[in-house]
Amino acid sequence: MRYSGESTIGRRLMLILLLVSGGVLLLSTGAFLVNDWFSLRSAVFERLSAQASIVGNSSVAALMFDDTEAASSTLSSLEQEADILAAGIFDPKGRLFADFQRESGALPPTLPTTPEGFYQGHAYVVLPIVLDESRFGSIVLLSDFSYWKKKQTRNLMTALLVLFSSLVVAALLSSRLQRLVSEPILKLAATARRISEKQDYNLRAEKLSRDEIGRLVDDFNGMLRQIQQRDLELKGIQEKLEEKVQARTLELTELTRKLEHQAYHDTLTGLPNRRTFDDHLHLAIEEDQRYGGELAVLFLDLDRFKIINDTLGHSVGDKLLVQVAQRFSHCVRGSDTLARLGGDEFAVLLQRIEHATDAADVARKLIESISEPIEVEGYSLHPSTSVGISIYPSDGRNAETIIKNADAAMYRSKEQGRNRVTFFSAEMNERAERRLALENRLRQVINEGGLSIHYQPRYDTFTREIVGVEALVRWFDPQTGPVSPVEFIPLAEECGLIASIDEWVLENACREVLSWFGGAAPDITLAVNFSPAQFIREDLHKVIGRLLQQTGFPGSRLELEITESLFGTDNSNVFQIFKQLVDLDIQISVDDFGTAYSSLSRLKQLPLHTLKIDQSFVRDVGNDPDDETLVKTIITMAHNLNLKVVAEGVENDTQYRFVKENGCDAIQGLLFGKPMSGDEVGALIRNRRSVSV
Amino acid sequence: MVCRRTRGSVAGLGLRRPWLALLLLLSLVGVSNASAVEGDDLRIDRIKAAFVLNIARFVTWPPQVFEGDAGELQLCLYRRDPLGEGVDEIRGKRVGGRALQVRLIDDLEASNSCHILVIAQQEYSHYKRAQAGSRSRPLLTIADMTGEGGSAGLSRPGVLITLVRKETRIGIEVDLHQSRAAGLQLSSHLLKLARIVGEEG
Repeated sequence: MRYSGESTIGRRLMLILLLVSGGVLLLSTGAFLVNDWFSLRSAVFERLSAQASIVGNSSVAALMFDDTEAASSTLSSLEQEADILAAGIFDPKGRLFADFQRESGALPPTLPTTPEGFYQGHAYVVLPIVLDESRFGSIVLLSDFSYWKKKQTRNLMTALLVLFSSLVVAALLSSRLQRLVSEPILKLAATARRISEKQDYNLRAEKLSRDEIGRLVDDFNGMLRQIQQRDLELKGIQEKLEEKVQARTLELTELTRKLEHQAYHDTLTGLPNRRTFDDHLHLAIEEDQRYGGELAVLFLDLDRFKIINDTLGHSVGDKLLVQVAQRFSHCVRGSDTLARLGGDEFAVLLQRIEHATDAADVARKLIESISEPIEVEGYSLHPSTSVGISIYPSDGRNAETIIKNADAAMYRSKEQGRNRVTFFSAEMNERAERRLALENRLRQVINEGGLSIHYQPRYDTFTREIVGVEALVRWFDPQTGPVSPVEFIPLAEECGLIASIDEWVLENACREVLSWFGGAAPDITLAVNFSPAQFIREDLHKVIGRLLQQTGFPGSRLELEITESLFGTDNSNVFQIFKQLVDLDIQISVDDFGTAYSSLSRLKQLPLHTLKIDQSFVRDVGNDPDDETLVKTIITMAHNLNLKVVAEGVENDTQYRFVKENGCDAIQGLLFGKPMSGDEVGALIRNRRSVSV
Repeated sequence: MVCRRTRGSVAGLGLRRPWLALLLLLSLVGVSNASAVEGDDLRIDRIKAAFVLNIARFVTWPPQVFEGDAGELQLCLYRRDPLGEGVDEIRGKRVGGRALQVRLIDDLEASNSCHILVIAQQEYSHYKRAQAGSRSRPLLTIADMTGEGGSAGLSRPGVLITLVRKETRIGIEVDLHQSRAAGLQLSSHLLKLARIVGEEG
């Protein structure tokens, strides 16, 4: 590639150089010629003038003495001068006096008016002939100018030759010199083109000069370095990006797998979920419809799991569920489906069973599998499960019915005391329906304020004076009559209605008790039952504090009764809530003491005030020595722990005397008074002096 | 001083042919008063006067001659005026910066202050006798021998320049020997046109 051939920069530079040098040469040649012309011309005239002066001088006497011959002879001496064409002497009147002419007619007939000039292409001068300040005539000299013109033409030719050869030299020089400028630029351009064609940023432009182009090359190379560096960075980034994309793709694949698994499995236990269970059940039923055969669905619900969850926290509950799921999974065959349907509900699908007893065997195995205590976060938990079984096709012709019926059978197990197996029977549906109806009515009755409060008085064992009342919620249904708290309180706990019931009872009992004392501070204690579920709430003291403020009931006269089940757990949250309640001067009593597990150390730690001995122990006093011992022990222990003791269910004198002898502080029971309406208690309070056994 | 005009014998020369040359000469001496052509006598007088004036222009006097004078060039006519009215033409003309004065003298004794002495042909013999024996001095003596009988080519004692008849024209003869003795310098321009007479060198 001959880049100089394509270079317009080179050509332009050359053109510029040629134009400049050519212009200068042309100008100087022109100036030379003009100068030459003028100097030649003035030389001609000077020479002519000098000759005229000499000849004129020589002719002055001839003119003065009218000697034409002498004048003519003087003029004829000009014959020696090759360029002199003619000469003439004129008298002062302008008449020709004497002349010399090479050719006739060369001389102007009259005296020219200008001292010098051209006549018929020939130069002439006119000089006056003067002597002693007097003018005696004029002399005219005519020179053959073609002689001078030839000389001038020779000069012109020489000048043109010099001009032409100068131009040739200038062209040669400029074609070499323009490369000084154009070559570095063209090399730089060639490098740039090579780089853009090959995409190779390792190339560098060569620095040929130390001028602006050299600096341009430096800057260009600097730019290349930057581009190269960015290229490298980009490559690095690209590699990193690709790595990231790969990693992300891997993550996504993993996530997809996980999500697919999650869609069909329970995230907590890893067991199949309700959806998978339904699918399997549908498939199994279709198969059985085609080929005949039986299958069983086992419905499992952990007993009192809600309490564990509420009191020990969800993390404990979740870990318990995981372990339970592991133990359950050991009890089923690979062809069976064990699924977690949600919460503490599990289900098992047993396919191709021979007899219903096969299902019962599996159910028993499941119950036994969790009979051993389960250790979770240091707690030794004793879960149990209630199981319901329904069989296809005898208990239902489709999956929905089978599941619903197994659920109903499970509820029956719960009702019958939990930790057992129940096969579905038709009457179960009726019970389930009643239960649902009950729940609906309960919601309604709470909204409409249809509950009422009865009060069971509490008496001092020794003075037999009334020292308090226990508020008991009552539900009288206009259609079905009274509904037992034993029936609707657990239902309210399950349905989440218990909080509103508890608060309603607290608020209304406070108002009613105050009304007995005409608004003055009561001198008896008001005991209100509070569900353990309430002690999950961290704002419990605020709720109660607000109610006390609204009603004006003094906190020191309020006693909250809480069932013993709450104390079996090491829940610092409960301690905190108790503390906040005690700060309101509220007393806390343990209800139904002795029916559940209570650690003595817990009793000591918590800010408790009173223990209430469960009436099941008191009832057997006089019949069962063991229970008598138990009651006696409880009283002693409570006193040792600096707690008051209340005996519940005192129905006869034997029982009264026993607890009195053993130092029980207060008593409740039919012997002194059954639960009664507020008005009745109000009247009782007003006449309390007259109360007697 | 006004000279009385006297007609000389020259008037009878009958010079008619060189009409053109005469006219030209008239113009050369700067005659402004061309009061018509009165005759050959008058023209010849004028030409002679112009010759005298122009000859004076080619002559250089020794400088001591002009010491203490008033810048005038004295032209003296010996006993008679041969130029006639031509005298009027040249009187007052300037020669070498000096104005030309004309006067008539009766004898040579009176010529001491003269620079130029013009001697008519009729008075030549008188002059010849008068100057005999006198030593040379810087006086330009011009003898007019243009009349009849005036011979040419002769050296005349006491005469430096002689005007002679030369066919239709007036010729000039110069006696170089005497002019040198007189201490006058004659221009080569004049010598080129004149005829040299007398002893050479």
